[in-house]
Amino acid sequence: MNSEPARCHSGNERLIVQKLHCPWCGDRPDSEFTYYCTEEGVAGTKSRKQQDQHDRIYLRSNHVGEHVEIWQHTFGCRGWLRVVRHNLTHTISKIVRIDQKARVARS
Amino acid sequence: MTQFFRNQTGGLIDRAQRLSFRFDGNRFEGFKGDTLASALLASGVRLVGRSLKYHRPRGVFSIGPEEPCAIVSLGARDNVQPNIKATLVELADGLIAKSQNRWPTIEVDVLSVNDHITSLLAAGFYYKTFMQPKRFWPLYEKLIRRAAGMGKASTAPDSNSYERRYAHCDVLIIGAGPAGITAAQAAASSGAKVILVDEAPAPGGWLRRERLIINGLPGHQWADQALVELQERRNATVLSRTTAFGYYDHNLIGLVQRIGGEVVERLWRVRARQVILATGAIERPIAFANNDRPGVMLAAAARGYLNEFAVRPGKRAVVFTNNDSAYRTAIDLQDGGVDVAAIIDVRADKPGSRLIEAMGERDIPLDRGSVVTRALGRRTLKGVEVAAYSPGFISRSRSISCDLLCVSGGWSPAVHLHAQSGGRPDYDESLCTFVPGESKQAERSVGAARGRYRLSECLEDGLNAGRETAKDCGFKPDDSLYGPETALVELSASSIEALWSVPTTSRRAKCFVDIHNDVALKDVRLAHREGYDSVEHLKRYTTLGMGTDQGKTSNIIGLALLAEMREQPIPKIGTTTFRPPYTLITMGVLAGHDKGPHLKPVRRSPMYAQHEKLKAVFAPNALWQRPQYYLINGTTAKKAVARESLAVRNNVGITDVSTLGKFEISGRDAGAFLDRIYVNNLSSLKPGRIRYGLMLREDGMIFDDGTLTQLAADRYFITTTTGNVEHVRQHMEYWLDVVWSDLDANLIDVTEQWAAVSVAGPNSRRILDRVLTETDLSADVLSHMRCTTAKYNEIDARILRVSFSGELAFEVYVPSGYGGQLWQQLIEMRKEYEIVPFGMDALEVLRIEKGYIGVGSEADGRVTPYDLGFGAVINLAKDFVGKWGLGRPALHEADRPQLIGLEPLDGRSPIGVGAQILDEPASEGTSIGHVSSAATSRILGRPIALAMLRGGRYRKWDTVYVADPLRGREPVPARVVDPCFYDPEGKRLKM
Repeated sequence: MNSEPARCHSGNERLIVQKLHCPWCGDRPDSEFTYYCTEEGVAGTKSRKQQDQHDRIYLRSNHVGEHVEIWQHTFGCRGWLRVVRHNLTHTISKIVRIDQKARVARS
Repeated sequence: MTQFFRNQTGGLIDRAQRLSFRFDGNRFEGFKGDTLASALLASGVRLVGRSLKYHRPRGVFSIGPEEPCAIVSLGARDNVQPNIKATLVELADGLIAKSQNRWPTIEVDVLSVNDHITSLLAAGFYYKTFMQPKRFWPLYEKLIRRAAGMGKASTAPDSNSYERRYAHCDVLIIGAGPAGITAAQAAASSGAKVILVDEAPAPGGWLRRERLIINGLPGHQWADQALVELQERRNATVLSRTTAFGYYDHNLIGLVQRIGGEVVERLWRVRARQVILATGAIERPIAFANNDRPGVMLAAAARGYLNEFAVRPGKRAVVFTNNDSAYRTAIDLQDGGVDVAAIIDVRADKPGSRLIEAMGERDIPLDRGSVVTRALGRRTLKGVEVAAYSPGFISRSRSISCDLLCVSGGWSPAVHLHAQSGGRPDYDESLCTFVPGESKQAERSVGAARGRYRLSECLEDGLNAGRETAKDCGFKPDDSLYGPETALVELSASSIEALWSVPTTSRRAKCFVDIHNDVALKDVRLAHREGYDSVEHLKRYTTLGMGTDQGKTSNIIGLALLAEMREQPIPKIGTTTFRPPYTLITMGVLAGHDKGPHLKPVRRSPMYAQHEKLKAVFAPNALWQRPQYYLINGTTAKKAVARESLAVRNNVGITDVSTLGKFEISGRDAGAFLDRIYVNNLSSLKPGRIRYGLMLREDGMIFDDGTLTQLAADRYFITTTTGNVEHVRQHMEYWLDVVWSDLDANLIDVTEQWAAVSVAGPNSRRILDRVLTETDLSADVLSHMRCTTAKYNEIDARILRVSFSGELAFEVYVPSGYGGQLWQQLIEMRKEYEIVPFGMDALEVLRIEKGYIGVGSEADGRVTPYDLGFGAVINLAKDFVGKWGLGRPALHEADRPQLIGLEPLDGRSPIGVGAQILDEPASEGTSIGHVSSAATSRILGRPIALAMLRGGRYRKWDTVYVADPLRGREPVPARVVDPCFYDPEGKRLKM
C-alpha cells in the first residue's frame, strides 16, 4: 500500500455535510447555501394582528419531522428555495424554487 | 542496548535496516517495520509510563489503537506531540520518545505515593473535596491538573503542514484485514469506484499477527498480493496509514492519512454511496487484582508481537482466558521460544477435547475452572496467584512465577463507526459482546466487526458484502470470483464464558476496569452505591472510558459490572455514546490551511497601495484591511489620530470609504420597496436628494444605517456599514424575492464597482474644485444631503454631499479602477493645501464628537430607534419592516437604556468602551448602563464617551460613576450630557 501522491484541492474548506440540488445550478455542496427561516416564519403568512405577528416570529412549532424551510443559494446563484428537511435525520426530500409550493409528508 | 527479546528469524520486520531511537534519553535500536512498542519490548523495556491518577508503573498492554498504558510524547523542544500510543508509532531512525506522568524519572516517581492513599482518590473525590470553598477551585484545578497531567503540548506554533482532500466513491471499505480485502476485491471487480483504507502501514490486519494460511500462502503475503492487484485497477484507491475517525450524516466519512514528509497529514472527506465496516474486533482484559502490572498483556497482542515483530514479550508466560482464542497465544509463544507455564481457563468444561489434546501434546499445563486472582511484582510482573473458581466459590491460591501474563476476556467488535452512523449495537449473549445493530445509513459491518471471528467467515462475509454493495450502487458484480480458501482448521471462537472480574480477597490491591484512567472495580461499586445507575452517569462520575483511548478495552467491562451490581441484564444497561474521533487526531489536520493569514480571505480597497506608501497601520474591518491611522513622519499612534482628527475640523482630510456597502435599486417599484425597508419618510425624496436611512429587523431593533440617494425617478443608490454588507444584502433580497415578489424592483450589489474617498473639512470644496470638472459644488447648488455628477479626468464620478464628521464633506465615487489614481492626486495636493489622510480611528473620534451612532457600538442589536432618540424620523403612517416589533409596549418604557453623552467630571480621566455605569462610586453593584464608544477629543481637549444609560434621556446633568475593573481603573465620576459634543446646531455642515 502506498499513499497516493495527489494534489490537494483547497476550495471550500467547510465540512461538506451534503449535496443540495439547486433548481437552477444542479447539485452543489451545502456550504454554498444558507438557511434563512422556516416557511411559517415568513412575513405575510399570518394576519397583521399584533398577536399573530408575535406568534409568527417567536412561536414556531419546531415539531419533529419534516419542515418547509426557506434557504438561499447564497454562494451560487443567490436564488431562494423552499427546502423540505427532516429536522431529526437532516434528510432533504425536496427542493423547489421559492415561487413553487412544497408540501411536507404527513408523519 | 541489545535486542535480547528479538528472535533471530521470523516476523515481518526488515533486519537489514537498523533504526536507532531514543526513549527517555536512552538509545535503543529496532528494525524497519517495528512500532515503538515492539522495539521497546525487543530491548526488554517493560516500564514505559506512569498511570494518570495513581502514577502506577505501566507497560505495553496491547498492540493497536486500544492501547491504554504505553502512552508517550514524541519529538523534542518546540515540536512535541503528547499522548501518543506507542503501539501506533512506526519506528523511524532518530525518533525521540518520552514517557509521561512521571517526575523526576519513570523509575522514581514522586507522585506514585498516590497509589498508597487510594482511599482519598476514589471516584468523585475531586468533586467532593475541592468544591469548598468554591472560589478556590481554579487553584485546586491547577494543582490537580499538574498531578494528573497527561503529556504536555508544546506552546510554539505548529510548524507542520497539513492538507485536505475531498473524494466521492461508490464503496468505501474501512479496514484491510481479510474481510475488508475480499469486500474490496468483490466490489472493485464490478467496476464500482472503491476506496479501501487501513490505519496500518501494511495491509492484512490480524493476518500479519496470526499464523494463518490463505490460498496456500501465509496470510500477510496473500494480503500484499491482493492489494497489489487492487491498486492496479483504475477504479480502486488504497490508502494505508489512514484512519477513518468519524462517520457523519449522509455517509460522509472523515479520514486522516499520515503521510510524513513535507505535508504531515491529510484530512479526507469521503462521501460514499455504500460503506463496508471491516474494522475488526478488540480484545478485552479481565479485571483482577493488580491487572495493570507491566508484563500483563492482552493475549492476542502477545502472539502478535511474536508473529509480526519476532519479539518475545516475556520469558515465561501464563495465559489466562475465558475463551478459545488465547490458546493460540500459548501455541505461538511456545513455538517462538517462550516458556508457557500454564493456561488458566475459567471454563471448567467448555474447552473442547481438541484444545485439551493440543495442550497435552505440548506439555502445557491446563488449569480448567481456575482464575488468576492477583498479579505479583511492582515495576514488572514476577508471578501470578491462581485459584480454583466457580461462581460464588474461590479456593485458596497458589502462585506461579512468570514475567508475562496473557489475558483474554473475549473480543469486542469495533462497532464505533457503526454507532457513529446512528446504529445502536445489540448485545449478543453467546458472544458476550455488543454487535452492530440495525443500519441507519448505507453501511454494513463484516467479519470480526460483527462477531464473525473465524477467518473463513471473514473472507466469505467480505466477499458477500462487496457484491451486495456493488449491486446496491447499480453495478454487476463478477460472480465468477470465488472466495479464497483457508486450509487451517480453526479453533472455535464462540465458546466464551462471561467473566468480567475476579473476586479479590485483598483490600488494598486494585482491580482495574479502565487501566488508562485508573478506574478500579471499587470505583464502579462506589458509583453504584451512590446511585449512579445510568451508564452515562457512571462514566462521568468515575471517568471510566473517558481517557484518550475512549475506553476501547474497558467500556464493556464497566457496564457489564454495573449490570451485575444492578442485577439487570447487560442490554438493559446499554452502552455510552460512541463519538468521533475513533482515535486521537491532531488539531492541525482539522485546521489544515486555515491558519495565520489564510484563516480568512483578505479584501483590500483599490487605494490599498497608496495607503501603504503613507505608512498606514491597517486594521481589519469585516474582511477588509482598512487604514487605522497613518504614521507619517514617524509619529506615534496617539499623535497621529489627534493630528488627523484636528485636520478635518480645521482644514481638510481625506479618508478611504470604498469599503462601504453599495447597492443600486432600480425598477418601477424601487421607491416603494425602499419605503418598506427603511423606517424613514421617503415620500419627499426627489432625484438628487439624499436621506439618512435606518433599517430595522422584524423585532424592531436597528439593523443597519446608511445613506439613501435618489439618482433618478426609478433608480436609487444606497450605502451600508462596511461590516454589514452581506447581511443587508441578504435581508433585502429576502424581502424582495420571498415576501414581496410582486414588486418590480431590482437590487444589485455595486460595492466592488465603486471606489470612494470622503473629502472632509472646511476646505474640502476648494480641493475638489481643482480635481473635478463639469460640476458645481457650491452651497447654493449642492447643499447638504444632495447628490450630483461630475467628471474626474473624463471619467464619470458621483458626488454625495454627506458627512460622518459633522464638517462640510463630500463623498466622491469613481469606478474602482480609478480609485488609486484619485487618492494619489488628492494626496499630491498636500503641499499646497495640507491635506491629511485620516483613518478609522480619527473617523471614530469625529463621529463620537458629533454623537453619531455606530452600528455595532451604540446599535448593538438590542437597540430601537427610540432608544437613540430617532423617534422623529420614523414614519409610522407607512408599513415597514420592524414596525410590528417596534409596536411592542415594553420597547417604549421610560427606563430603557438610552443614548447619552458622558464627560468625566475632572475633564481628564479616561473612560473606556465596555465600562459599566453605576449610581454609586463603587467597582461592584448594579449596572445601569454601559459605555458604547469613547474617545479623547483633541478639539475639545478632554475625554468624551457615548453610553447607553437606563432612562438616560431624563437624567441630563446627573452624576454617574464609570466602573472599569477589567482595566484596573478606579470608578470615574462623570456627567450625563447631550450625545452631541461639538457644534450641536450643525452650522459647520451647512458651510
